[in-house]
Amino acid sequence: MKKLIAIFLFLTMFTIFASVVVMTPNTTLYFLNWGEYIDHSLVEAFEKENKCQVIEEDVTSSEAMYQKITSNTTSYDVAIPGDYTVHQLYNEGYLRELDVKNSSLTNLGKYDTMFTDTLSSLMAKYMVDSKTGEEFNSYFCPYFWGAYSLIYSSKKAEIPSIVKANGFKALYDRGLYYEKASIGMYDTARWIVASYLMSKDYDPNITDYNGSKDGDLSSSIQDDATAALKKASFDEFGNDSLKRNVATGELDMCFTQLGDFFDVLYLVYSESSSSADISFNVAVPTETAAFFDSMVIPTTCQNYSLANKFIDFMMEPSHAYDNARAIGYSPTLTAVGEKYREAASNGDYYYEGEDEKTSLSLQSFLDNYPMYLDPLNGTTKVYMLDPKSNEYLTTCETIFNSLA
Amino acid sequence: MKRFKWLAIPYFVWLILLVALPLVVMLVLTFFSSNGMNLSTAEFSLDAYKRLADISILKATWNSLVVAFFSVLICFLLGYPVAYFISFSKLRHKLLVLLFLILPMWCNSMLRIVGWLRLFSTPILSQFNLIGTNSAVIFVTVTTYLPFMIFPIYTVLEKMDRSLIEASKDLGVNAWKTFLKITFPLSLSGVSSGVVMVFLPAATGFAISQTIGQGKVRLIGNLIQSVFEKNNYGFGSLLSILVSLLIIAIVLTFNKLQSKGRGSKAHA
Amino acid sequence: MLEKNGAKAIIISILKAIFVLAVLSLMYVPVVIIVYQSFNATANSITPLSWGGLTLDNYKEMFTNRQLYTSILDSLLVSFCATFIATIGGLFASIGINALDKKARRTMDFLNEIPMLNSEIVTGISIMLIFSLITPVFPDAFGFPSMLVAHVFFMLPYVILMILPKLEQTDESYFEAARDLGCSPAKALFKIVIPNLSTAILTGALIAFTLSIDDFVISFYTQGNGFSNFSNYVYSSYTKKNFSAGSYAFNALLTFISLAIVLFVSLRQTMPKKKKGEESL
Repeated sequence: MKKLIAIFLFLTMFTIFASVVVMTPNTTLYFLNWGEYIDHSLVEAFEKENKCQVIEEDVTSSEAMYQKITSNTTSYDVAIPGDYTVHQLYNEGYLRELDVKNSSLTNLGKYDTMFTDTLSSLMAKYMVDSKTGEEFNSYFCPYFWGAYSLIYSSKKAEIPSIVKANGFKALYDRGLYYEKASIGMYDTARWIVASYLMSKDYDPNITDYNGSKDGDLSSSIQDDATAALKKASFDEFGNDSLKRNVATGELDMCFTQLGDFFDVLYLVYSESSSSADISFNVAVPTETAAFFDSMVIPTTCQNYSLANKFIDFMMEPSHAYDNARAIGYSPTLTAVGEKYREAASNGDYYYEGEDEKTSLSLQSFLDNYPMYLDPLNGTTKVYMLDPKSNEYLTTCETIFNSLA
Repeated sequence: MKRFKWLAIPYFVWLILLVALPLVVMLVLTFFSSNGMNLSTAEFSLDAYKRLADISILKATWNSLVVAFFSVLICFLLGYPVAYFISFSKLRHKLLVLLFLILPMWCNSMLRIVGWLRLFSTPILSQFNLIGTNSAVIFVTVTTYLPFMIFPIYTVLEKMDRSLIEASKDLGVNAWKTFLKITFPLSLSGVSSGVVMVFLPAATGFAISQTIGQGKVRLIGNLIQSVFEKNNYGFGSLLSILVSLLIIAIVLTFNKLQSKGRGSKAHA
Repeated sequence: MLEKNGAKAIIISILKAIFVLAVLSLMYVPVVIIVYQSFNATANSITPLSWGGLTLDNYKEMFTNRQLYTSILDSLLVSFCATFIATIGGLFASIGINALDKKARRTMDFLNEIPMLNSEIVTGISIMLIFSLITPVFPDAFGFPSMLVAHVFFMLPYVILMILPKLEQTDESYFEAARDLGCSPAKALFKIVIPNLSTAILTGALIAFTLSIDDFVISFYTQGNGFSNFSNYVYSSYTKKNFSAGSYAFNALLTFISLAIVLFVSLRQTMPKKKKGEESL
């Protein structure tokens, strides 16, 4: 009996200790994000400034983000879903309007004008309320954006030219290669189907070859996609691992988002001993889909003012610039683009190593990779993925599963 | 002590709430196409049942059974001898050796799986392209769940009446026959516990197949997890119910076969 | 004849030992990797397992990386509390089940088996569904409450499985004697029956705790509101560059501690044996 009391006392003390450490009396902000998608020093600065705790949860796909927000298992205050997910959440009434009329939140107040022209025109075209025809851009703040692209390794001589000439066809047509190439594909079923449709020069949103975009994926597209995927026999399905594997040369190329390239570029610079290690590059096909991830406030938000402060904090140009430098995805604010050009002309470094060999100046970086500040540079046709029903997504899932 | 019967009631209610009720909820969900648990927008639909015909489900189930079968087999081939050698050894500290076998289990299983992934990704081993293969998944499953096979068998072997074996030896039966006719049949209850405890996670888990398989090994667990992630609770519930029924059927059949074997031996 | 058998026996013993050691080393490979990574300065480099120099910084990360130590504390909190509740609950449930008559007993035995036979993914999803029904009324149901319930749920059958057989073997006459001497039933239970079960209770608690601290799938579906298991932390961050190497350090520490406990216990058992000449293990 005494033993029982001793155990119980230990438990009570441990519970108190753990609770004190874990469940702070401070205000908390529940934040749903993609992995490696925010500069944590910025988060810490925000926490200090507002005396709060930011609890971050990560997902690897926009669909997962949608599921987490709508399943009510956690009351998120801020989330960063992809464009079509934002559209879907807005349509279904899961978003709260941002506090754009609050005079103390100066950056939110500029929501109409602070984003780059190319991005703003995309937003005006796609992020439109289906009932009123009006833009609903007071509900979201684009955070980072880019285009679906191909990261490829230049270790094999034939790869760069094939990728640049064929775009997404390079993923599916094994006949283009002399030597067997190892190709990686994203593990989000919906994007796999989109990449297939784009490789065949179709709009990635169609559900039937007649151009219809409604309802579930037709069986003809299903069968063709399955057959094409089987033929393509991708060597790896992943998300964060793809970019790293191309950088190390394990994969010859992969289908991913533009920002992933810059993310791993910085990583390799910081780990390598010479710039000769950079044996990989990125290509944005002339016909591709653009994307932008936006900060939103779901209706489950429990701390509305803090959530708005967080978004306003991240939209502050100096913070957004630091964030962009850390994450590598293309910035959405015009002011940040200007900061980049200013810093480049000041002689700032993209990565400063021990000597010239291991460093890359910011100006060279911007010159070598013009698609960083302008992801749609050089593209002729740009699509945006539409929101799709659960049935459509499950069908994509079954296509993916039939490959195993 | 019969007066304490009532103590079983809370547990009975608990089981009904958490075993029977979810089953009912899942069954109801299979008939609706809803957005997650948001029942206000749910519509009656047989979409979940229509999707059953898809070949990917058969493939995933078959894959799971194959992986589970080989995992169980290899665990048995490695685990039984280990349990036997330790139990019948003349070591003074048998329990110590056993504890050493169980020690890796106190290291988080997810981290151990990541450890194997890192090992397979090193420049030396990545040439063999182990990641993404069924064999790698089976291998990691075996190393993760081997103690689950060893422990029940060891327990049964320890409890076994050694005098039977002595008697058999005295009667002149050679070691192998003694093992086959006496030791092994008597240890079957431990074997079946071990088999079930390895089979279950091997067939229905998704952690190992996702980490080591990297999207190329799709087991039924991966399928269920990704379907729920798409907010399709109807189809996911249907798959979960079917998986439960399949597992219970396999385990019950296995138990029946094994008790039949024991029964016939008793008559002989 | 004896000498020939002797040599053969020794060779066989050596082969047996090699076999056991081989299997043992197979299972220790990931543990070795974890310990190696815990001292590796470049534990998260792009080339896996490349050695970047010896460091103790990873151990410091256990106290500085908030995501890491939150998940560790959460895991320990859930496991300790759930083990405590499941052990006590399982003990009394076993006493109750033991007292049932044949038919009811058979039903309960069958029902008790179901959580063990059900795959983890179905259990996790079941509990998630039940709690999803409650969230409109209790928005904070997910997190510690849901995980606690889930862990207690899958632990109870194992605890009962350990205690019930021992309970069946108990001689009821002691209990009757206590009653005859004037003890109330509760007192007799606590003073006679339960202490008799102490080893079974302890084994059940140990098994329950081990299963809980290592759980992944069930915790995956019942996490929420910032509360999650250590396994969930590893699963969601192992591909990211901010995956804390402190996780390796934490597990390496656990391994060292359990190794120390095992060695300590075994030494204690051998020492008195040598001194007294006889020890009942």
